[in-house]
Amino acid sequence: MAHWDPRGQVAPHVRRQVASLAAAVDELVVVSTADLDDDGAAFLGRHGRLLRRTNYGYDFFSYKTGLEASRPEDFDEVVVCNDTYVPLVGYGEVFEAMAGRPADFWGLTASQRVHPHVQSFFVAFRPWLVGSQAFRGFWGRMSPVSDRASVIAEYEVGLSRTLTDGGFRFASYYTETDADRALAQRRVAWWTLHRLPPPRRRREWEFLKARSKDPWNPAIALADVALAPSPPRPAGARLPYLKIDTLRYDPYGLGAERLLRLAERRRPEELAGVREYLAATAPLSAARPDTDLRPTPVGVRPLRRLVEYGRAA
Amino acid sequence: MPPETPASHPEPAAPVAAARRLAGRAARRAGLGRSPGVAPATGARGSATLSPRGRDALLESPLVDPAWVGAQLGREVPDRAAAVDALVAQPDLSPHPLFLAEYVEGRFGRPGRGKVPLSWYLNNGWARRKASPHPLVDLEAIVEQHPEAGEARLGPLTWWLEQATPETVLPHAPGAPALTLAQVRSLSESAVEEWRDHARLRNAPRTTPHAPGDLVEPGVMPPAPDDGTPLVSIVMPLWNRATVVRAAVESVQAQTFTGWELIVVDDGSTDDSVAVVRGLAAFDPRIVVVAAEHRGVSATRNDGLRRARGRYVAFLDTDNQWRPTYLQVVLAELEAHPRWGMAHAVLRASKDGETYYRAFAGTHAHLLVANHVDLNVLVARRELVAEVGGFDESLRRGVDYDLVLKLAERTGLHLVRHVGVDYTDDSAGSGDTGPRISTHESPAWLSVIAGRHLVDWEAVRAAPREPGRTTLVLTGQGSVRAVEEWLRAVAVEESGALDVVVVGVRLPRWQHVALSVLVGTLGRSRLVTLQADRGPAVRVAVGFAEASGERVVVVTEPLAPDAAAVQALAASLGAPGVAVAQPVVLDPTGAVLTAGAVTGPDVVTPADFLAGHAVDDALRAGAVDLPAAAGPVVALRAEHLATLGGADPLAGPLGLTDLSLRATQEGLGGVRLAPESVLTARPAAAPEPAELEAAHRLLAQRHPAPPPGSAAAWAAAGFEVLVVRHEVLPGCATGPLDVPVLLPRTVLAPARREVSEHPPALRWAIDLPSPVGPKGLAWGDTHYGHALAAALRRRGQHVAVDARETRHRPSRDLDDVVLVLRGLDDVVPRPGLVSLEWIISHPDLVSAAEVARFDHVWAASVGWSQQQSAAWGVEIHPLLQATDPALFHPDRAQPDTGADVLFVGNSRGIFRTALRHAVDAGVPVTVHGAGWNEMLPAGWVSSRLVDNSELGALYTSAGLVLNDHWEDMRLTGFVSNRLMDAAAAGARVASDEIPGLDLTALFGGLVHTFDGPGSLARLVRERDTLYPAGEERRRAAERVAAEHSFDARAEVILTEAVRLCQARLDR
Repeated sequence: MAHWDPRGQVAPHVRRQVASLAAAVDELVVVSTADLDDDGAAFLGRHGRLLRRTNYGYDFFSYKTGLEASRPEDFDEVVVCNDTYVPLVGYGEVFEAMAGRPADFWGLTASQRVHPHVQSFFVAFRPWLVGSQAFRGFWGRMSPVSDRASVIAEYEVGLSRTLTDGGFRFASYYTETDADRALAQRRVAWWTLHRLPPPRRRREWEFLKARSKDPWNPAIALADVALAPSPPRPAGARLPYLKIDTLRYDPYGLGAERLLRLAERRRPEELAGVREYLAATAPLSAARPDTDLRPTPVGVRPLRRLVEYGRAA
Repeated sequence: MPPETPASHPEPAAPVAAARRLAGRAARRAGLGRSPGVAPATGARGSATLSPRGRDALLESPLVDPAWVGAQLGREVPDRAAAVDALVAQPDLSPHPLFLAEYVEGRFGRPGRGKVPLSWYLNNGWARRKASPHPLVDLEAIVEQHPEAGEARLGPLTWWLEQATPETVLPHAPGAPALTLAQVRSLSESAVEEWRDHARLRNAPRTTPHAPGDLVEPGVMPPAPDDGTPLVSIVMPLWNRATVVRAAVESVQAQTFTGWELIVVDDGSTDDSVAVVRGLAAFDPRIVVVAAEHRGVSATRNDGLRRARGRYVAFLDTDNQWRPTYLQVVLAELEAHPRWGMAHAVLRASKDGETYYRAFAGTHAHLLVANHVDLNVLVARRELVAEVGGFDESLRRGVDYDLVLKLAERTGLHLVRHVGVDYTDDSAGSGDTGPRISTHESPAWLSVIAGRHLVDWEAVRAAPREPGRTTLVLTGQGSVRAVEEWLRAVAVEESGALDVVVVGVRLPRWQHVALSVLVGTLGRSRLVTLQADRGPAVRVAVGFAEASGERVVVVTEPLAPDAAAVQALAASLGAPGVAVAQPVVLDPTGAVLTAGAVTGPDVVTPADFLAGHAVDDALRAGAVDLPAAAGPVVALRAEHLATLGGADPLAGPLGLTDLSLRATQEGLGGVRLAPESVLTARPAAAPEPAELEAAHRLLAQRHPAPPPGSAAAWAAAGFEVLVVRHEVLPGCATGPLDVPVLLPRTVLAPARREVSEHPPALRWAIDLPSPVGPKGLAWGDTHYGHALAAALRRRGQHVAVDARETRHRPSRDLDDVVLVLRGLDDVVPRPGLVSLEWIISHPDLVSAAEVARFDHVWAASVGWSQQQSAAWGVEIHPLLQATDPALFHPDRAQPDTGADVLFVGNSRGIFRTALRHAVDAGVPVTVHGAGWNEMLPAGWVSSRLVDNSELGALYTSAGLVLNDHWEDMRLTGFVSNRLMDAAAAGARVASDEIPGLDLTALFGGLVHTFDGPGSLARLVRERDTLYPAGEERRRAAERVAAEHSFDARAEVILTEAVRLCQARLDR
């Protein structure tokens, strides 16, 4: 598990995640790039093996550090994850659900953006894959990158791509329904309207139309699915997490505050302390210019209710 | 990725190409040319057209035989009209058992496109009178027996057939077998029946462009065994196919029939293939993964077979996918037919955008022609596969073909009409998966497999051998006429201890019929045919399997007939320690093609011994022991050839060399040159560079140390090895990481004895203006050159006589002297040699520039020499022609017992002076020569050609010998050598005059001249008084022999050559 906190603390929701993980696995290795205070360090050290390193190379370099410091080939499954999400389903339940799913590696969610991939805040690898040349080559060749876009392209998408090119297949815990997909596509269109300048020429209009049909990131586009009750699971969480960045940046402009309120109402235990964490780390968090959206064009304002968070819930 | 090396077929260097063209032309002349009549086997030529008159002519021709046309078509042809229709629709059909249009010699022309060949023949006056359309049709014999046939409007054959009944015996040359028309018909009909069987095997519909109509739909689901074992085990070998194996396995998982086990056996993959299938197996207990070292696909599949538990086994390769209903349908059929040992489904394939289907049941015989059963659609009973021993692990390619053949030997082939696999076979290869078949392995492996299944080697080893008999295994490729001559030569061979097996490959119908009829008629021969070309090694093996002789001469390329040379070759196996006898093989130009193989000093890379040398060097080498033999002809004991299992197809073009090396390795004996066996072969087409490279690598690997004898062989031929250089085999890559094949090139120098001799033994090349082979024998220059060579040899010289085609043989560099006998060709002497020219004819063609090129020039005329020396300022020395006293001397016959007046010579279209005067004077003359028919009174011409060896006796016995000169020779003073010959034979000679030369004085009174019919008549009348008689005549003849013999001339020439050589050394 890769950990980072700009304040050097271990936030309450992260403490719950660490404890829950530690209970579900045989060995937990936490690689922290935070300048940890004593309490945080003690907590992490109590629940797992704590490795500390300087903050560069994002979570993937922490994954690499952790893998190199362990013996991944000795285990039935190897998981890399970070602390950027609030888990809403117990890890034991997730592992149990995935045990019979034929795949060589799997994640909580998969995205089609850029190239089909499992989202890298949680990826589990099966043992035959851990021994493969593709897996060892990927981690062996990795050098630290300190640019978020490059990390996503080379490492997040790159990991899945390397492994699938090598002949392996992935699966994801969360499976989208047709309704999910329809909603997500509407939300991508909404986001596109706020992301691009109003089209003046035909080509710009065509471009906008094309972008509005792009694939989505389910952690953003379907974030409220996590809070929707589904028949076998009254508490919801077909999507088993809420992403901190979704709550902090509202990248698609779908109403993150609504989402947070809804979450606090439906899953008070899991969300306890998250609002305070967001507030405390806001000034310390990096600016994300790509999440600065344009004002909603007047003509489409009535459509907001069709896309804003809460619809899926 | 480095750039791919382009497929290398380098243009042959200009001299090599020119040499090949020359060899090709010479080969055609020598009758070794590729047969012009190799027409497509079936009516691919399209239909013909026929005018109404032409049709009427055919309807009346006895050369149209409806029953025979029907026999070829395999159906009833009711009448002549229907037969003519068939001949028009399919011009390649033969109209009559005695008419095979393709057999007509090319010089008579060929029927044009869209012509009915018979119609062409009957309309071509020259062809119908002179051209035989069948090996058993002897037009001369017909005309001799029935002179009126020669005058018949539609030619002798039509005339004869109009008279003949089925019981009439075909007119034939004396000694040729006598056959009735009915017998020929019967032989032909069985031959054509046999050919149709073969054609059916070759042309079976192995693939079709359309889907077969009556496809089987999935029906019942075969029940799985009660004991929980799978009904079928699927064996999948895996080697570095991580990216595609998933699709293959998923196609198994998607089968509607689920009672299977899939055994994936890894063959030491170096990529993530095993991890991928482990991932699949982790979620499906029916999949078993076996990881192993790299051992090749056969061992890998066998490993899978050993672990199989199913009643049946199926095979799927990693780059194929089954259709979901494949197992259900095929297994249901197998379960419904308990006696079936195996079944195969339909394969749908696409190649470069074209789709085709493989939906053919076939038989073992069909498989021997070509494999039509893809392993990916084959399901067989497991016990049957075990019984045949599974896959052969010694094979590197075609293992599936081998298995299918082995299975088909035990059980029938059954097609289940259901598409099992969609196969993509694009020539570009499918993306990153690499080539679909193991194309990096030699295609010769397929020949190895075919050889094993076509020949029962156990039976061959056990076969009884007839003592003293030699079997010649001959290829049926090339000209039918060359094979025919072989068959005829063997049939009349005196000892009767020689027989022939002709191996034909995919013979066209007419060739099959012609050869079958010949074999059936002449005896001492057999014809075996192959329906697929599997290369020379398999041809030899298949032919050898039919051999009965104790000794075998195997031939892999078309060879000019010479039964005696073959017998001599086989006889040389009698010497102790000789396992392989190697003949001297010449190319059609007369230069040595090979006299065995020599190798480099460290590696077994064979090169042809004496290639490009004159035959004299091979004769000088004598019966020398060689390191190895070289094709295209060798002789072995049958027992040895059987022990060795024939030639190895993997050794490709070096098959016979490898065979001899293996014979030595096995302790059977060595290789010895048989110089008394000189054969002429057509050089094989240059092998593919890759094929040759593979063969060289195989030999180097198989035979680690070169056998001794290379230097000794060169020494025996009179050469000292200066150094062995190595040349990269053309086509081999020479990058820094490549290991090209290096061919040894021996740099030679003529071996000189230490002690100085007088005169020294020089190496000579006599350059003739006459052509090679039998044609050259009709040229006086050929005999002249050989007689001079013999005289030089008597003086210790080493002499090669080169026909004009051999003029540029590379080994002339090793000679000291070239002597050009000037005929029609202006020869530029090779640099580095002492060059001499002797102008014995055609002085009008000689120029000052030509004479200046030579170190020394003689001319056979005193006057012309003086005149041209003065005119050109280049010295030309007189040296008259010569005679051979061994052939021409007074004791050859009793004087005045032969022709009263004799003339020997050809007309060449000119009414020559001597005969013109004789006719005018009313003096009857006995003439030997060609081209006189129209000019001379009946009865004068006695023969068309006299053998040179009989000429002396004719001269000596004649009352008077007539002589004249070609006008230009007479005017320039070139004394004909007939004068020399006749005078040396002690004949009285009457000759035309040579201005400025007293012939009577020159020849001691044996020659007197005439200048018209009157003086000629006087010479005839008064010969007893004009010419010396008795002892006086004999002494005059002996004087001529002494002064004008080849020995006398050789002495002059040798003295001059030695002087010039010495001058060169001094320089």
